[in-house]
Amino acid sequence: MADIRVCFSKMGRLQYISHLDLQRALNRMLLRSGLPIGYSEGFNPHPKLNIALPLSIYQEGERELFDFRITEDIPLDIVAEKLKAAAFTGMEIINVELAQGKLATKQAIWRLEFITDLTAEEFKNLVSGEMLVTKRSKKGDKQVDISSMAEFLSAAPTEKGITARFKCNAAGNDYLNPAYIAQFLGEKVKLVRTIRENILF
Amino acid sequence: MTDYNKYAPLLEKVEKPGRYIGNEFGSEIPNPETADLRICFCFPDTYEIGMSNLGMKILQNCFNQSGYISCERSYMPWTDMRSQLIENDVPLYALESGDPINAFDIVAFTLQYELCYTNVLQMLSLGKIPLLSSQRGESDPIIIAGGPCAYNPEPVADFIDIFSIGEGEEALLELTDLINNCKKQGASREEILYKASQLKGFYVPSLYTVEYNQDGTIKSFTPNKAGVPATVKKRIISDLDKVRFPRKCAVPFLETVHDRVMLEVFRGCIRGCRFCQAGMIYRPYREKSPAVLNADAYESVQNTGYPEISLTSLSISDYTHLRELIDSLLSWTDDKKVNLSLPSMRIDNFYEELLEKVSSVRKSGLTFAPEAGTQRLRDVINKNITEEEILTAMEKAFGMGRNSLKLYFMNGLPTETDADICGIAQLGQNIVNTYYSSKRGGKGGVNVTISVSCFVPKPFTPFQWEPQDSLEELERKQQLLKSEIKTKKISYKYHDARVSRIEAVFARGDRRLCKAMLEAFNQGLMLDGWDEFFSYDKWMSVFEQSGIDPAFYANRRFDIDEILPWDFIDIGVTKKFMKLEYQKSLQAQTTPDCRTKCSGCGASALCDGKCICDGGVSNG
Repeated sequence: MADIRVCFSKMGRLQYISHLDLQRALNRMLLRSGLPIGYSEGFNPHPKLNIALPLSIYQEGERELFDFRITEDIPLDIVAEKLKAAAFTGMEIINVELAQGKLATKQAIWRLEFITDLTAEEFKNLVSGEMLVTKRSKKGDKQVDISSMAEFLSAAPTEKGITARFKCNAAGNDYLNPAYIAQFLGEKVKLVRTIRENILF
Repeated sequence: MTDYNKYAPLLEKVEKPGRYIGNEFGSEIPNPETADLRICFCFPDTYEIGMSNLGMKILQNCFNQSGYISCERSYMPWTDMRSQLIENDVPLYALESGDPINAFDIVAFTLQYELCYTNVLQMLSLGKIPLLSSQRGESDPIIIAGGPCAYNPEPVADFIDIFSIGEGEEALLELTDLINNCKKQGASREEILYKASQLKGFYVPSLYTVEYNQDGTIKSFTPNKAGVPATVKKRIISDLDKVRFPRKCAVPFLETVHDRVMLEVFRGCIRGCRFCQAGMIYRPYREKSPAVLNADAYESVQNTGYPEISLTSLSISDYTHLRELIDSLLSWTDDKKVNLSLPSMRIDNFYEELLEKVSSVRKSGLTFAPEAGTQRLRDVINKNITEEEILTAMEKAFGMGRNSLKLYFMNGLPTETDADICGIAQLGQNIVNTYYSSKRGGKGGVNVTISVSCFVPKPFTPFQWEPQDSLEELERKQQLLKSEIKTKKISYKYHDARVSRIEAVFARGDRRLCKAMLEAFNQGLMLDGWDEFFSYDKWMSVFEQSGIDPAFYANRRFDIDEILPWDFIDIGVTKKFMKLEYQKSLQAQTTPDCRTKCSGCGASALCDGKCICDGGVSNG
């Protein structure tokens, strides 16, 4: 028995697939792989599958992670080979290793592509101070400063605007969806692509 | 191939973009750019419904295995996506390549129910294809259609170039061969349609002329060109084991209606219920062998990763080799944690044994379809099931710990009286009583759901001449039943009678209804199968504007000798048999199932007499 950690990408058209749909798709991928999958106990057993962090719809991921269990010891390169054969288009199996510890995520690196007239310098100034956004919850709307949750890393000009990178909080109970950064910038930008580059522990 | 980035601005404005992106595992197709012939297979309802259709999977696979065809898919967009397509002036596209559907050689529709007709027109329009066959030019795709509703193609005859009647696995490849050759030779559209009419199993509506009597009935229905056959004979596959079953299908990301491996065990039905169109048009009864089915199932699970297999056929307990099939499936499904689901399973000793033996057989909801509330009416419709049989089965089910079941009935059946309606409530009550007097395994109370639909007379059934009850009468009966149900253990559901009335108009319609279809399109009707869009008032306005009397089609008793709009189609089962069955029904006389005794319906002629009744399938 072994717990396996898989690093994979979820790119292109897969951005339109929700987290729940991805979960189901991964379950089926595991079944297709022919690997001896570990199942949960209980009335309705399902593969023990644990995705590190959800991605919202319209977001892509370059180095996403999930853990699953196999009930026999199988060389990792064979596991990788079988997973690759069962993977779907837009998903690349990047790395397969034995899982070390729980998937306790802390932060994530995001790359956001904006269409904007702002220069990189102007953009940097905007996101360097207080960043007030409206967060919706069941208790009603709330004004929150997200600047402590989103660390600006870089901004580079592109043909139509700017590509910016942020390090955002990404713990289970302390997660910042980078869509809030776009909300903060408001009319000045149009967010056209959101890519999670990496997940940090 | 179109770059999908082009659609990103549209996709980010719709609720479920996953419907419009294809790219599912297993959805790979032959390269569209090098294929001789390109087909876009359209399902005229949403992605979730269309992806649940086995027929479409089978046929797409047939085309893509042919070696020269590249066949893609498209579905009816939801209203949000439809608006996006229109606002951005983007034509409806096929999911695999993203190319607009009007760039294809052939656009094919499957017609599964009457209420999808408006979606066919919507999809053509969104694809920037002229709606009327007569308006299409040499550069437009050829529009073909098939499926159960094609057995009365007349209400959509003006919009479809070629109809495929019957099972398509072999016939459609004959048609694509023909079209491919014609295109290579530079033949005109007119020539292609004419040649298609010569193929067995194809109907080209523009090559027939209909004349009407003063009273509105059909006076004559005749080919208007020499060489065009007067009748079109349905096509069937005689050996189901030899036909290609798609063992690798696209596995949707979204949750669809039937999201599992669907295993087609047999075609046809031996029962002969007199209201049931499927039971007649899919005759003769043909089975697949258990070995082939087991291999189909095994490879399908390997290829898709689905954790569930559903045995789909009209009445699965009728399968001769059911025990053998289930044993061979269970020899590997348990290991793989794959569930078996057996809808339409009779509750008998075998079922009981099965549930006890294996955990992987899913306890899907218990359903029964007595269809009518009294023995007299069940005899009229030839539903050969007695109340005693129902109650015995219930007792067994209760003994196994089940305490929830669903019963299906129909309102407005021919000869129905108020006593028959009250009989439905009584049967429900008797089941509840059975529960409380039985040795039951489960705790708590019982829950019986009575679900009642409205009878819609369908072409190619013994009841094809019968009128539908008036809307008022159907609604009165629904309320009568409501007042007859005295216990809270029974929950009562019924269909919207107004929907059933529109179905009845189109089910027995002729080609004059094409005018109403066009008017419905102009008034923006679509997605009629969805409660939030169906509007009876709009339909009434459509009929008024187009000079159509809906009662002429829905509520008129057709004369036994009049020419029916679908008479030119030969389904194997003869009109003589239908008439005989109709007469027997009015005297509440039953007809035994095909395994017990051959009734001479005529369908065996389609397979050289090798039907179940002649020892083609052993009685098991």
